[in-house]
Amino acid sequence: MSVELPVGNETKFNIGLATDTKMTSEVVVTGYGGSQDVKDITGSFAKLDQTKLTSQPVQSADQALAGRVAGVQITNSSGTLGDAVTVRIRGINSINGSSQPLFVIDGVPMTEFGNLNIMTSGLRYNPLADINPNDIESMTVLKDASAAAIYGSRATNGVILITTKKGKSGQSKLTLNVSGGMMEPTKLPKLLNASEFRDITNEKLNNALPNAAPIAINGDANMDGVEDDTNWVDQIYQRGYIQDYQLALTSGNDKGSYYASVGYSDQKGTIVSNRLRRANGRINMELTPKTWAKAGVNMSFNHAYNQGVLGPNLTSNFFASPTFGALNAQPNIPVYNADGSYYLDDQRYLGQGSNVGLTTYIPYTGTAGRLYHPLATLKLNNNNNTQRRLLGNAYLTVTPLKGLSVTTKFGVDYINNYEYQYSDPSIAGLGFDFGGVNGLGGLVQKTRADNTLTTWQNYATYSHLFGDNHNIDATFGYEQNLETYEASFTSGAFLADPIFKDNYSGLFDPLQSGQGTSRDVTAWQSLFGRLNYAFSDKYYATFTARRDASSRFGEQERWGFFPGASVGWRISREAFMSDISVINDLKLKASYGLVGNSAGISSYAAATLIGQGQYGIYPGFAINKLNNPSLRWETGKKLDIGFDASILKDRIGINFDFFSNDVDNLLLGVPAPYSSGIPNDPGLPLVSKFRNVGRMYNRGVELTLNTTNLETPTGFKWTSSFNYSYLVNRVTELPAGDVQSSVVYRFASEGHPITEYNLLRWVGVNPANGNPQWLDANGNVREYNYGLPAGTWLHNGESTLNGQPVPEPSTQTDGQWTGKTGFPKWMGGFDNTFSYKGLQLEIFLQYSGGNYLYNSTRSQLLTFSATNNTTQILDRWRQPGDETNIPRLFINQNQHQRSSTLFMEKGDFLRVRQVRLAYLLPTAISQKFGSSRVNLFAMVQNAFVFTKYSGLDPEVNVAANEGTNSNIAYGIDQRSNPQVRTYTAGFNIDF
Amino acid sequence: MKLTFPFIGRAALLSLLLTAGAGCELLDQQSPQDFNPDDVFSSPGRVDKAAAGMYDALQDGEFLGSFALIYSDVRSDDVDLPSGFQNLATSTLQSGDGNALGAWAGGYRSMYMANYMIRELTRRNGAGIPADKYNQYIAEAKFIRALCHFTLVNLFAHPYRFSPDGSHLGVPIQLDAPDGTEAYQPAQQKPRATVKQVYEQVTQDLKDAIKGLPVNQGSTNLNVARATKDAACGLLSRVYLYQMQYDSAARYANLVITSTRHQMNAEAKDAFSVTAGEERNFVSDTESIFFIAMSQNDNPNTNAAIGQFYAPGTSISIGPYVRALPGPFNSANNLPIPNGSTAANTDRRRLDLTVYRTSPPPARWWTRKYTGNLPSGAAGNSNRGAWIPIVRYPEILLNRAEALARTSGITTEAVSLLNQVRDRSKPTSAASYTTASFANAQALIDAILTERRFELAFEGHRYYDLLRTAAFVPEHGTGTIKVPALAWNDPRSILPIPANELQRNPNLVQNTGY
Repeated sequence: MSVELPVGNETKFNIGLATDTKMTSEVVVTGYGGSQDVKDITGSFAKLDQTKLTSQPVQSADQALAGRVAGVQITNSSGTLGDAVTVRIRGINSINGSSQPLFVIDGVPMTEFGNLNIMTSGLRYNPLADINPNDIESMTVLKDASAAAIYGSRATNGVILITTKKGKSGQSKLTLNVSGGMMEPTKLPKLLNASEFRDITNEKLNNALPNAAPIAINGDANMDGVEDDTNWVDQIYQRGYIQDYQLALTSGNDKGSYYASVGYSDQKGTIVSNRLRRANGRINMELTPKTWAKAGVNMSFNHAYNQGVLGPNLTSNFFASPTFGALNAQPNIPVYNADGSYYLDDQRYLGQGSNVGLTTYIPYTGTAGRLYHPLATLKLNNNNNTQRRLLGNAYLTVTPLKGLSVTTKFGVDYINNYEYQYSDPSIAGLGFDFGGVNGLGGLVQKTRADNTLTTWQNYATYSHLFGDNHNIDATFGYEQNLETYEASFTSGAFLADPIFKDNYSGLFDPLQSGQGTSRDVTAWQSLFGRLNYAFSDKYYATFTARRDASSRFGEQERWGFFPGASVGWRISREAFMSDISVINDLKLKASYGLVGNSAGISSYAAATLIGQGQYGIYPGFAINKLNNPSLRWETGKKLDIGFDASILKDRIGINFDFFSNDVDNLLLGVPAPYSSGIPNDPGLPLVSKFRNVGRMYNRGVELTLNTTNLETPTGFKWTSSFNYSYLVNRVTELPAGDVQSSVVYRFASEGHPITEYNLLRWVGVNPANGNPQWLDANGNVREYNYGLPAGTWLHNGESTLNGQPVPEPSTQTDGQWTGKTGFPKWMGGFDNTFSYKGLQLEIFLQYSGGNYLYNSTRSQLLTFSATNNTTQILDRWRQPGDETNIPRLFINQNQHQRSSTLFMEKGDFLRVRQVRLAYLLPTAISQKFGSSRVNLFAMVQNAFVFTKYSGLDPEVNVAANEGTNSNIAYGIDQRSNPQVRTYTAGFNIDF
Repeated sequence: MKLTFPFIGRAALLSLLLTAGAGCELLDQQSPQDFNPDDVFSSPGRVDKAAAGMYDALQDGEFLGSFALIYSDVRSDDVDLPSGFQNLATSTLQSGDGNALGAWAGGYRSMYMANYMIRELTRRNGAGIPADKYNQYIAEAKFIRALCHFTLVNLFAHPYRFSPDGSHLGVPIQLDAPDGTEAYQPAQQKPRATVKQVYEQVTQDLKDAIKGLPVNQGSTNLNVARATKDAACGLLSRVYLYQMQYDSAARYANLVITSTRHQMNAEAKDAFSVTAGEERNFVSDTESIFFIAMSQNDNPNTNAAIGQFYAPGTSISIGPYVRALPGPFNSANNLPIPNGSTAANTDRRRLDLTVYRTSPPPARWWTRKYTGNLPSGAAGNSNRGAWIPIVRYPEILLNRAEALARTSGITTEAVSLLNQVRDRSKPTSAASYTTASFANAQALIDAILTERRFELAFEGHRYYDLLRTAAFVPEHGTGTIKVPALAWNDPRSILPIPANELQRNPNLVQNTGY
């Protein structure tokens, strides 16, 4: 069902229940007031309508794009509420910079921060989560250079234009959306229970020390009369609940219109104590006091309060993180004492239970082998994040002449972000360290940051039909942006009472009281223009250009020029095609252009910075960083060739694109001779600076099929939307050498895909003796010998190599390129909608694959130290002849954990991302209670995943949007909190 | 075409569009927490802080702030085989060694700010500061640059005498402060100059420095913390000594001596005395000429401060040094023992500046030059705020004494200079030297070198004093752990050019043997 309603005099809305992105008249926004009918478009745009967004239990609008649009890859980092989402359009397009696209809301760019939180081991804050998906009318993805060049130096990673709902003339409506539901982890790690742990641990010990007394001992340490057997995973994960309320008003006439909404949602996450509450409001209004003038305001305010967990993901190796503690904690240790207090030792670590001497075999030297109490840490420590966001713009458009309109628009993206971390003194950790022993204590850390991005745009658009056939549509304008980030942070400890954890002053606190401020400003100035030309609805051309200047760029490269052009030929309009009735519409199109990526350049990256340089007690200045006057954006040269077709009476719509993005001038750390003496840029090794020197490319194809599979006279209809994309990446030039990520086996290297694994090759466990074996660089077997002589290496079974002891194999010396990448090679979605009268069923599948994940979680849970293991360890080698990948247990000998292909696993998956059943009540019934429309729905989000991946979920990305690592170390699974399955039900009522 | 609203309205809007392009200052954003160079060189007060920044760079723990001294002394016969720096101590390191790279990079990093001052002050025609200040800062920069080059050439090249005319390879001479672009140009791939060229540059820089440096930097502490005319003369006398130009060495040492601005302190320990936890104070210290200043809050810190390696219980114990000093021995194992040591039978430098500790085992001797060294004599732990001695008056006396002995043989003056250093520390039972004490000039020279070893221990001198005098570094160590002897011209007696630097700079030639 599709209804077209004219709104104003230039845009059209498509309101429908059915998926419908066919090439019938549909309008997409193209930026700076522009919009184009789909049939006339020659660049590569993709649009997602509101029907796919409303009432979705997604935590941010970008999540809703997952699988919906060809070429757009969305990765949820983990199941932690509000955690970062990785968005990649046509692959990873930078090495050290950001690969996140530019988001523009109602014509105004949003801040490029991928994570606004700065405190370590804390939550991540995804600024996109502040946009209420229910307020979104549509999202348009600009993929090629012709489409994106109007955003110039910020467009290499693609642009996502978000358009919010507007009032509609002649339609007054009050809409109430209510939904509720629950969520649960899709999968939890299976760990050893108490008796398995006891047996495995003592086997580890006795394989090494045959006569040693057992260290893992089960008993009733808390004397509650029950033998201690704790499933720590169950202690920290729970069923979560969601409730969501949305109220929207909309009305309009020929003098003005408005859309207003308020919403509130409350999510209790699947991790104990993780809760996210969000309230938001929006007013979009437009007045048309004169026929030649209109003015409007679009404004939203969002307030979110996220009660998180310390180290939820990114820093999941931090002891305090739940996935660290709960997965390591020994199961034969109780959670509570008999009196209900947490079971802790004298230093407030997790107690030892009935075990004797486990800590000797736990190599966490900082805590002397002890672990933090997983549940107490979650419950007593706080990591809260309060975010307030004002997104708004006001504009005035004047139409002095027919066809010409001039707009001035002022926009603001204001974020106030408050991070709060509290470490409780009654448990081990920072809180206890700072005075916990004296009954004082606790550590509070607070950061408050304001980020203000203001935008001023002035542009004119002119459209005119010359003669009968020459249609011109031109835009020209000026824009400036100013982004100011300002933060202050403070910390205090030695609190006399926990009540002071929220507000403290006057602390006697000689050891830990820190405070400071920081400030950072970036400015942009830009000129842009676009010309669309159409001849006789048959031949099309679009020229786009932008000149961008940024305060980030070096003085010699202050202004960049970014042109793009595309042409289209609607071949189906040619006489020779008129006989081919099967083809209703066919348009060939091609585009080429130059865009930039400046998101990886910090605010003062091009300048010489001279800061404090204390000399003993004497104040002085030191050079912190040297200038780079030629520092500039990374360049993307984008080519796109494709066609749009509609065949079989418009029942099948096809979009096909071949694309290529040659990225040049990649910013890489380039070493200078040490004897130059220059200071290095922050984040780089000694005597190195970022310079524009590298190259790589992304090439691929995209296919979208929108089909009406079945339509019966009885009203049954089955439509589907399928998309597929295939992507190849290659790093072609790295003149300064490889670029390392945080993991040794992943580095960008010339001639290889940026996410290719370079790993030590795992051979297997030697069935004869249970020793782990790898291959060295030359294909010889290196075996680690637990036996006699213990702790030595064997080379093809020999204990010496060239008369010397055999060196251990390592990724650095023996790693081999695997040809396997962390980033998916192919991905897409398949959405099916079945409707019959008022009933509608949507089944949405998402898939991705061709990639490999590094299951670091599995590696860590196969430890031979005295912490808990995954149940996979039960398959260890025990006697000669055993074929397994888990070597003979040997206490604290964790050689098998070294990075190797053993832990690289296929990441292919097919996810049933959404099953949604909706029922539109018959009008006769809904009118009985005064409603024009009542829609009931129930859905399961993330219903099931088909995958061979042995970890919790193949959709995982520890590095999220953290610069270099997010580009190179994509697809590392490092104790991420599990993804969630969500069940929701609710109703939408229109009055 | 019909006008839909008054012409004036259109005009206003169009002009709005056009004026919007104004305001290019928007793009000139400056970091709120940093200066740009123009701001730094905008006032005399700021330029003076930039000058202090040259010394801040000199505090580099990888170089003269700590390791450059250690790298000399751990290779000398003054230490036991240390628990760290083993490859260095045994002269078995590889060209990829991190210490070698650290010293190389640290040396050039330490002189960057000095070169930058010269560059900017010259480029800005003095930046509007008074001429005397301009001359002073340039002179300070040249002093620092000379000190860095001299230290680098000692670390990475054979001593001057290795070839007849010093024509063997030294280190690249860095007189530029390349900016972010220039650092990548071929001109910065500097080849190694010869040792002679390096010495010529060092000598020239020091001579220039002597002209521009003040005799007084404004306070007792600043007179030590910042370079003075005496510091430059003193350092130059050492440079000439190393270069075997003894007349010049004697002459520049004499400039310091005859200035009478410096005298020997009453006791050897006075130059290293500091109350635990407090900052160093030179109010009653007249022999310290130039130290690199440190403070409790500003120093190379836990990982690199020199005291972290020399304090009791850390890396470097000093058994062989103590054994060389007069004092009681255990005749059974020929190890020095603290029991029974008195001012009569023991050198004051052993009594006051070393400490014997049985814990952690094995029992060892440690220097106290970099500990929290209470005036009362109790040994403290590592003092991260310990200043780094570079030029001290006793060295000047010994420089001149040695130079005189080498040019004029046994003279009253040479013996008197030696006695000035020796007499305040020798066991009271030992007699002062007279000209009759020495059979020949070489005996006097040997006595001077021995005194140099005693007095300047762990200040980065001993190893180079052995090499420059063509002496073997004797086998040393304690018990069965011995470091074998090393010839002064052994290829391994100098550090390798770091492998990493050879990749960055194809014009460099590796030292023979690496």
